[in-house]
Amino acid sequence: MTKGMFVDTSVCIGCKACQVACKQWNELGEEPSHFEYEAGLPSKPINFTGDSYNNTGSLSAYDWREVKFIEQGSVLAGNMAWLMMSDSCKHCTHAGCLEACPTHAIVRTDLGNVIVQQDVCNGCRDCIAACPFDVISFNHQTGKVNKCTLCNDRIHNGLETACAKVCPTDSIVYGDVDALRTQAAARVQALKRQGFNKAHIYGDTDILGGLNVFYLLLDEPEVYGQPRAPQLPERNLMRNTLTSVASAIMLGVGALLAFRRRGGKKESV
Amino acid sequence: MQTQLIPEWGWWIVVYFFLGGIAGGAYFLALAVDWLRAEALQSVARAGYLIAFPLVVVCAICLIADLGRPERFTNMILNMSTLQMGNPGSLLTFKLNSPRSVGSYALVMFGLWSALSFASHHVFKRDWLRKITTSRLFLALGGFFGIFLASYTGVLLAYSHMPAWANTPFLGALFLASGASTGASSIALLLALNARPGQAPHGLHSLELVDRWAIAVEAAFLVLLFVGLGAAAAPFFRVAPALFMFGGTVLFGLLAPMLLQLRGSSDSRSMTIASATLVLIGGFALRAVVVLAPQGLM
Amino acid sequence: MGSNMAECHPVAFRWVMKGKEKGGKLIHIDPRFTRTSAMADKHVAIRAGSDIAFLGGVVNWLINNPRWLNSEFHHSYVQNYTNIATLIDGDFKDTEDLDGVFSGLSEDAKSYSGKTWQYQRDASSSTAQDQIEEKNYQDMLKNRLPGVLKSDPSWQDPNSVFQILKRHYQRYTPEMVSRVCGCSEEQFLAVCEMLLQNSQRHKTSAFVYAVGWTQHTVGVQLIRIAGIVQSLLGNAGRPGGGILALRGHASIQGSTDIPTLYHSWSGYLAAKDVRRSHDTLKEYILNESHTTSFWSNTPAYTVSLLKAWFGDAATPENDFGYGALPAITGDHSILPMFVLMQLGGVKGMLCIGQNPAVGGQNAEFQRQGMEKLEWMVVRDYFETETAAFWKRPGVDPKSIQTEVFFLPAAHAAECDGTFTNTSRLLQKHDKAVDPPDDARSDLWFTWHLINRMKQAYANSTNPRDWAIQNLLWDYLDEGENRKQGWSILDEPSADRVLREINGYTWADKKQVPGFSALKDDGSTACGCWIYSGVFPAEGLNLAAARISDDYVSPGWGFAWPANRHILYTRASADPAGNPWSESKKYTYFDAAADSGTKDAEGKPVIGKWINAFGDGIDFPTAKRPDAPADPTAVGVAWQPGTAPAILRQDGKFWLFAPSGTVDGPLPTHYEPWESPVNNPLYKQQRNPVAKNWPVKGNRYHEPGVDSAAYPLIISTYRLTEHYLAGGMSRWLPWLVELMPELFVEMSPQLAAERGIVNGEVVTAYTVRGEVQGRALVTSRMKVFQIDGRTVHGIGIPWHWGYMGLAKGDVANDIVSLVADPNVTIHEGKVFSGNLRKGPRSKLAPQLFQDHVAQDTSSEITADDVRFESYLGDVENS
Repeated sequence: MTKGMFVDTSVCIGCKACQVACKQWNELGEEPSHFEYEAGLPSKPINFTGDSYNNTGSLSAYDWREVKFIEQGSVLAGNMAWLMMSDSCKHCTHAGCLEACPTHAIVRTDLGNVIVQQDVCNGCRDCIAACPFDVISFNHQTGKVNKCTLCNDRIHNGLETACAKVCPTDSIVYGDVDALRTQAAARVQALKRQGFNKAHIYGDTDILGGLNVFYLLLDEPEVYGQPRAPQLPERNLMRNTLTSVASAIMLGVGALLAFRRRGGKKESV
Repeated sequence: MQTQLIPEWGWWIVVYFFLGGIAGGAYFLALAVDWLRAEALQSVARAGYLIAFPLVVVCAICLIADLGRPERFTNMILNMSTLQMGNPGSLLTFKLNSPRSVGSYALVMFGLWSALSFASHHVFKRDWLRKITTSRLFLALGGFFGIFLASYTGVLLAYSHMPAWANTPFLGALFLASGASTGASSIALLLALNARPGQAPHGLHSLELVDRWAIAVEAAFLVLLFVGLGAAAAPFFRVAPALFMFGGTVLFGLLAPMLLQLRGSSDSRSMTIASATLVLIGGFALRAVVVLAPQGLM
Repeated sequence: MGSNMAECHPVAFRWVMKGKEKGGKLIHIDPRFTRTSAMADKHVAIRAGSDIAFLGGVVNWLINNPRWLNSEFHHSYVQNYTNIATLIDGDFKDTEDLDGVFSGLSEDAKSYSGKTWQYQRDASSSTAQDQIEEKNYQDMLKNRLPGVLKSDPSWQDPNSVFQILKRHYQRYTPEMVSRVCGCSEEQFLAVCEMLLQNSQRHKTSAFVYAVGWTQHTVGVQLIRIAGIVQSLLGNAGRPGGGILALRGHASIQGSTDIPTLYHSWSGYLAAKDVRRSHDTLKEYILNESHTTSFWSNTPAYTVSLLKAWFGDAATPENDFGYGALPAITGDHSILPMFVLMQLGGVKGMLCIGQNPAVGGQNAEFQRQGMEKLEWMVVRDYFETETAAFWKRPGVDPKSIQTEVFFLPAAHAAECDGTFTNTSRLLQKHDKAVDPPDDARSDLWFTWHLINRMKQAYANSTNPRDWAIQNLLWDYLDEGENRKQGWSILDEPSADRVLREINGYTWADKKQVPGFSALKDDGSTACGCWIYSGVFPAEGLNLAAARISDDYVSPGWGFAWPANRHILYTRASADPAGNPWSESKKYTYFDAAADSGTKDAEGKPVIGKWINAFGDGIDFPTAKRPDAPADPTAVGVAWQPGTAPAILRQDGKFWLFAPSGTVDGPLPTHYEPWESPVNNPLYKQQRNPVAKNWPVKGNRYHEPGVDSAAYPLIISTYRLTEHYLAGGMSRWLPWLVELMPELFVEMSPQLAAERGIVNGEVVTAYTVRGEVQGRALVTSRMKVFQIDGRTVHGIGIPWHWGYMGLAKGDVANDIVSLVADPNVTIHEGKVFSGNLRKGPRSKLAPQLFQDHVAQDTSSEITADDVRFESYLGDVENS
């Protein structure tokens, strides 16, 4: 049974409890870049992003969750909106990281979640380039990559994910993906009736075979920094190979011709 | 606002890509000479073999050094997920979809092939070995590995979500052309350095022909690359990357050698050295800018 | 309103979101656009400190609206359950008559006498009653029963509450609301419309507030006006209605009930006060009891409390030890205490669970006050700013003589106890681990401290030490600690404390089932009458009950009093006792049910109030809905069967408050103490009786005079990511990184005006100090048009200090130290100030010295503060 999460951003209040619960359960430390120190100011964190209330700026090896804050319009104009979204690994059905991993460090478990086996990963970082969502990232302290595991240890022991557990408004719901998709579809309909015309599901089966962690968004994916049509890096494999072959033929023929013309006899001095 | 996460591929990778291109290109040219049984160009072949093997060793060192956990480089081949973690699967990792997985095998095979060629031409000159290393089968496979090594590095970058790498199908082709050009130039440089002053070594003309052709091909793919990338090429147009790309690669690596070779006297040893050096600089600049700029590391 | 619930009470906000998912509408009226606004169906930005004007406008709109006047539901509700028809003293003068103040203001204009705010009573009815022999407290109360109230059911009498209300709020027109609050008339009217539409027989609206309402010089009146609106709308005492107060931290409700307050003993029994007739127990009881409300039970609760304190030593002969208790002399709450400290009038301080060096207003003033202490004890998890005040940036530790003791405190998970949450729900928490090293629980500290005091005073012959010597102090249960395997064996038993709080019979030490079993003769002991019933039998701790359902969950924990989750639910039924509607059915009268009681002739009384969801009912369950008032009965029986508010002397919801507030019977819009705006409604600018302390180092911006230099409105507030003064968050990297730095929220327009770029360092300043932070330029901040001119506001979260992982300026350094006159809460939510680019000019101690040097404020002595003599006599109400 494939497990996943439905993240209903329409009820996300941006409390960041998910970020903290994630770190607590997964024993992730503070993001080191948040605690780099300014000269002359001992122990002064410098990660004030200025980007609304977003504190991470991105996902990282220590921040497996990022609550995004998107401010639209203005109170003065009477059209203010403040969208929030708790972002994490999507555990794609067709996962770029998993495809790219040359060592089988990244695997999919029987519950459908994609995990990095820390005992296997050798830190080549191909997966980072391969992930279309900017999820997986390099841990300089361990020399390996990290990302959300869908609380692999919890879900294989019958518990829900830590973030879903603490989410006060049930914006993050853990469960069987099939059931969650039904629930999400109903929620979209309800929101549309309330006038949220742009409400839609991001990560249905149309995206990479279905994101096991999928979202209800109130605006276009780009607004939330999500690719509208993420693609697997595989798509570049064949065409790059073909052009390389073409290049090889051109160069090979060129070389052979050049050498044949001169090769038989001594070159003139 | 989305901050792009980067694989943080730095100078180890740049050097690897650069030397891998040279090794692959030089080895391919050497094999081409042997394929044609062109006795007159044996110096070219010998030089190619001399270059390819040591460089691929350096390549392997660079590649391993770049790993977050270098001691685990064997995991590229040995499937520790099976061997250590007890997951079902094969004993060796081989993922046709993963450029690095295939590339790792290519590197190993190339190392093996180039080592044999190196040995048979330089250190262990036995006829039976020479026979093997100049057999058509050996040459064909070696040529394939050489081409693969020089080009897959571009495919590795393209196997990515980063627009400057992913939105073009020409990175592999471009790196291969650059590999051929820098490979030919390396051989030429080696020959020129070994030649007496004022005397052009054998095979230089052929090499220059190859080089000019490779430069032309490279230039063509470079144009195609930029045309294809469109807006995604933006990272290459910031100050430092632009200097590397247009100063280093286009001016030094493409235009200057071409002009030197077309206008100058091909007999001049110093001209050869100058031209080859410029091509190498251009090739290095190309790898540096293509690897680093899209990651914002330049 | 007055609450940023999503950010400050995110867990409780879960239920708001659940309601919204069911189609409920959420309106957020707040100066800023917060994470709560983001979730709201409608956000109305109003200027900070203008809430009374807004809600006054709602009252005005409502009571002049034919749809309300002609609504059978509203008329029936208001007529029966509120004092709308009651007549007020003919000498009462409204703000309409006196341009912004009420009758009764003292000559020095510093305090009110409430004599003219009283109800008119039929004098003959009380004198007609025969005086009886006073055998007990109930007899005494009976002899003091007041006359019957006069009322005019047609509401036409000019002295009727309705007419007074109408006059008082006639200025609060939509146009005026827009002028004062800075919202549009359309926004205001839309809110009125939504409220009325959603406050009907079958629907209710609820108000939610937090410290955004309380932290004003009109804080109490702000909540009062919400009470008026809810009473007029028929939302009081009904499910889904009411006014929900969100408390400031975990179990702050508990520390009000069993108080860490100076003026209340326990369960809201007033502390002995030299300013009141409190000389003997009898005087105390007569003064603190109501003759005609549930507070007629004060004698039993008071005597049982004294019995719990002094046990066998408490006897009727010695007034149960009453005489040995200390009396308060004035306002000893934290704000005047720090003023007193600054004036050298405080010797030592025990600081537990608080960080006034960060949380105090005009915080450097307060820190300077600490320097004048001989000793200070701080108990906390980390070395807070308060514990480290003597080495704060900018001071020379050698010059500070205060001896500071820092004691490590145990966390909630490291000790047994209960939390009382914002809905009065007690929930037990269990000790999970022993606290580390020398860390000990508050219970441990308090018990051992008093125990050592008892040892120290054991041989004293000084009568004033009687209370310490005779205090019952038996909470240690070493055997239980050993059984549980804890390493700290001298940890007192929280269970034993709770059992005493519940109350027990003195003779055979049996737990009492509830406060109705408490007696005024010393036969019962009870630590806190409102909690009585939480531990009703041996081994039965209802705070640990964990049966939940999807609605009221009466089986989960224990909601004081008597497990009643909603109060005054008599109002959830119509006057005849039937539910107002099926959808809002809650407490109703079942005329056929056996009440279980017997009448005087021994016949069963048929007819009983039932709660449909098992919730406790505070109305006498056997009292018929049509029961007439009995002018000869004491207590709730004096009230008729239609009186839901059993704690009020008339049983009604008060639209007009004849007592209980010291700053007027009706909420009135006054500008904040510091405001760049002149009150558009009255000549009277500020709350005339607001508490203020014009001593050296505590300066204020004067209206008009300082408006040019300090033209901005500043609000301080909390964020989800940090906990108050930071004691529980700024030492934890996970939380620190969530909100790493102090920032100043401002509108793009203000930023452009001051040349400020997002993210750069800016300084907010007042006459009291400067605070440096990063600029957060956001269109969530509105530019207000107030009374025809542009007014900017900025917002500053106040979590930071000079200790911890994330250091930053103390935002409270610039906040004004001024307070509401009723409860002495400060005005951190709104004061005036200014903003500039760049860092602060000096550290706080240096700035403070500069200010003191320039200060020309009048001198007030320590005794003035102790006895509040500068405020005049406080009316004995």
